[in-house]
Amino acid sequence: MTPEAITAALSRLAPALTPGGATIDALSRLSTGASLETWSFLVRGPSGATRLVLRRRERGERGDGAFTNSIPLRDEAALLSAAAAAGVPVARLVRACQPEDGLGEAVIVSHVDGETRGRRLATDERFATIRPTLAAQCGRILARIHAMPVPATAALATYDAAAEIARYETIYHRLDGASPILELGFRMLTRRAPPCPNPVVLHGDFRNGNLMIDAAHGIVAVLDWELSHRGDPAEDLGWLCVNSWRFGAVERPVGGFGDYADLLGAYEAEAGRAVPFGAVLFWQAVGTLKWAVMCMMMVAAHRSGEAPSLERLMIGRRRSEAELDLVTLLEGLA
Amino acid sequence: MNGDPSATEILAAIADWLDAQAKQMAGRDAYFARVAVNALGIVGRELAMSVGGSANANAALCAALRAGTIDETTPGLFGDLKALARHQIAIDQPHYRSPTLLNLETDSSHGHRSGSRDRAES
Repeated sequence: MTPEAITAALSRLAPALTPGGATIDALSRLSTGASLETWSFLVRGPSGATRLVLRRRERGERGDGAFTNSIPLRDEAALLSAAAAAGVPVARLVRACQPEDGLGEAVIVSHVDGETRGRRLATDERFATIRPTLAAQCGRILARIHAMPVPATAALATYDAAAEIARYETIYHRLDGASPILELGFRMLTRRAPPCPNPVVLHGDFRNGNLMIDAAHGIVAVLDWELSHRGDPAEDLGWLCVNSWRFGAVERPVGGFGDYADLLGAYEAEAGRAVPFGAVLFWQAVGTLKWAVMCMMMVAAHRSGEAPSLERLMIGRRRSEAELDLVTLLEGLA
Repeated sequence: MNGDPSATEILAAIADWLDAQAKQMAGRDAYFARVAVNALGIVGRELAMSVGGSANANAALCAALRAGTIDETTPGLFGDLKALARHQIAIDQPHYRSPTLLNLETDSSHGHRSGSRDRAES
């Protein structure tokens, strides 16, 4: 859809978006995801202007299943509501769009002010005061997410460790992967995959970059629920600690801002059960392996013409950072 | 030996020019110009550092790991794999910081150490 067409569709919806909403203004694209678009816009009405955010996906662009794990946006909307009810900071759901809204697969949420750029959060002086509190805040929030009931309307898949690793190994082979380090990773981690007798709701992409941070209040919104599924609680904690989201602050393993002890201590206090450090390290290794495969997927999206861009091609060259991190983690497990 | 500009010199000159342009740009243009400067840097380092590694040897190592004839107990495997990884990161991101095993041991000294060992030996 063109920006003009989106503005026209939003204009028809305006009365349903804010009380007295009349006109749409200042539509601008926030991200250039391969298929998922994020737009910011203003709804103007008698009581002033309200900034909202539209997330939409062109019909049928979720790929062929093996290359994407994204849930439909209507399930993301249901998760946002459930998360808010569970005390998880999220953008407020304004509208889960219907086909007759003319926006395709789409959801509209409130705008939240804050910083999401991971490097600034890990290194900028502006966040020096709040930074030491963020790991514990992550632990509390993750415990609440993991206690959420599965929304009745959302069909979340369940993946234990073996299934999660197998999903990415399948993609790796489809992309003709030939990396000795990743091969060793698939074998070692599959052999050590723990069972998951009590799967919980996972965010699936809880990391520095998907957290909206206010310099005074810390985490004000958990974003991007599209990779949500059910599985081992340690999966979300390990993913948060993958070195690629530390933005150079490697001595602060939790997102480049905090320590394992703060994360795990706060998680245990909120959840009433501990996640062992060893489980976090195992899932950190799985997460690092997944990031390596995701880098390969970016190259594939460029080559197929689905989303050609130099940026995606260059993310392919970040596979080596994941390999270097992974080989260290594997040596620790061996 | 003549004074012709080498491929790496030409690349470096283009990167310098583009870097100067990027400083005059704003927003997405500036961002993509910086991505392009980084890309040229990778190409330059690859030209300068390539050791002509054999694709066949790499494929054979992958096949052996997949088949299990080589695994984490094979002497020297981790040393070889770390050398591979360090060579590639020197091309792709020479300033990338990766935690060492020592970092992990230090991190794990927050009272969660035993869990790590339990898991590693299961």
